[in-house]
Amino acid sequence: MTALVAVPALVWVTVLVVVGGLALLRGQDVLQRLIALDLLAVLVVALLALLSYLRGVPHYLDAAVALALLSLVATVATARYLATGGPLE
Amino acid sequence: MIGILLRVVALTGLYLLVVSSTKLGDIATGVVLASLVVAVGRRHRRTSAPTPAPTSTRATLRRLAGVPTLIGGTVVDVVTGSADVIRCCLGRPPDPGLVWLPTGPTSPSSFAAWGIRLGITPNTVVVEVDEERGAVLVHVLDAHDPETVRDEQMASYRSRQQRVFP
Amino acid sequence: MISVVLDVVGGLLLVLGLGLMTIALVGVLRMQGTYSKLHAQSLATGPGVCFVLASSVATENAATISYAAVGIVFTVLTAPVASHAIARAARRRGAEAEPR
Repeated sequence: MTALVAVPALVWVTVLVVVGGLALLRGQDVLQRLIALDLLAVLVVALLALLSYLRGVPHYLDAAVALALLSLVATVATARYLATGGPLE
Repeated sequence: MIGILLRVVALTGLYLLVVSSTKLGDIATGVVLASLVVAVGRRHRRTSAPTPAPTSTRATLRRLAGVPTLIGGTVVDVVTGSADVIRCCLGRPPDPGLVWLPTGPTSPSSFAAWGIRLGITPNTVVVEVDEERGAVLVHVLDAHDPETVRDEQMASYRSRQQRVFP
Repeated sequence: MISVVLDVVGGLLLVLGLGLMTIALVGVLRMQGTYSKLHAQSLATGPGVCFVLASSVATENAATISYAAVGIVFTVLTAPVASHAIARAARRRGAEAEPR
């Protein structure tokens, strides 16, 4: 992929990550923040994929898949923890 | 028999994608690892599930013939669902609400397939799964007419999934 | 020739994926209620990231494309799990409304 496409895309995803941080701060309760956090993880996955296309290093995509996996585990664990009503129940 | 072969081929394919090579040694390693996983999985299922119903080769082939419809239909559902959600994101969501979808699939694997199909489609979010009643509680953005939602989802289930995952 | 076609296809897929992610972010910021935000978010975690990974065809590098394929398979299987976990937690915590 040419830098002509990849560099603007990288800049755009970076802007999206910043706006995603804003969404994280604006969440009204903990679940809405969890949703924003999941979205941020997806944006970072896209960022890593684009970086891999730009530099021609396939191993960045490994990091992207691993990050997606970690974000799944984190999301499911947090959601289950919240569903049971916290540590005091 | 075909089922076992398919599982081994699919797992070997995944292994080869991960190591991204087609050398003979890698293929052999992949086949050995995939057979091991399939064997362990079968033994585990035999001890935990009551009786895995015997399936004939023809039934398996008939199920396999439905896979293109399943995947293609799901892609169509995802595209139309995405269009709906984009419209709601940029405008106003009409009337979000929860809807029960009753009398769907019967076996656990069919439930898993239905859940993934409903979950990957952006316009339905799976909230609760009731395996005893065979029903799924979904959240939709336009729930002012629950009957229409139910009819649409059940029609999609029947035409796309029922042949492969009854 | 093939290379140009692949570049164009990859670019289109990339634009589509990034567009979906942008709309999803707008939706998460604008919509009210946890479930509605989940709809917008699953626009990015499902089709959005799949399109961005699919645009790897433009690199014409076998290793990159195969990793991206693994990523797509993985995303399709796991995105519904995460969104179901959040939706279930929202219901257990008593968010809004009776089922119809």
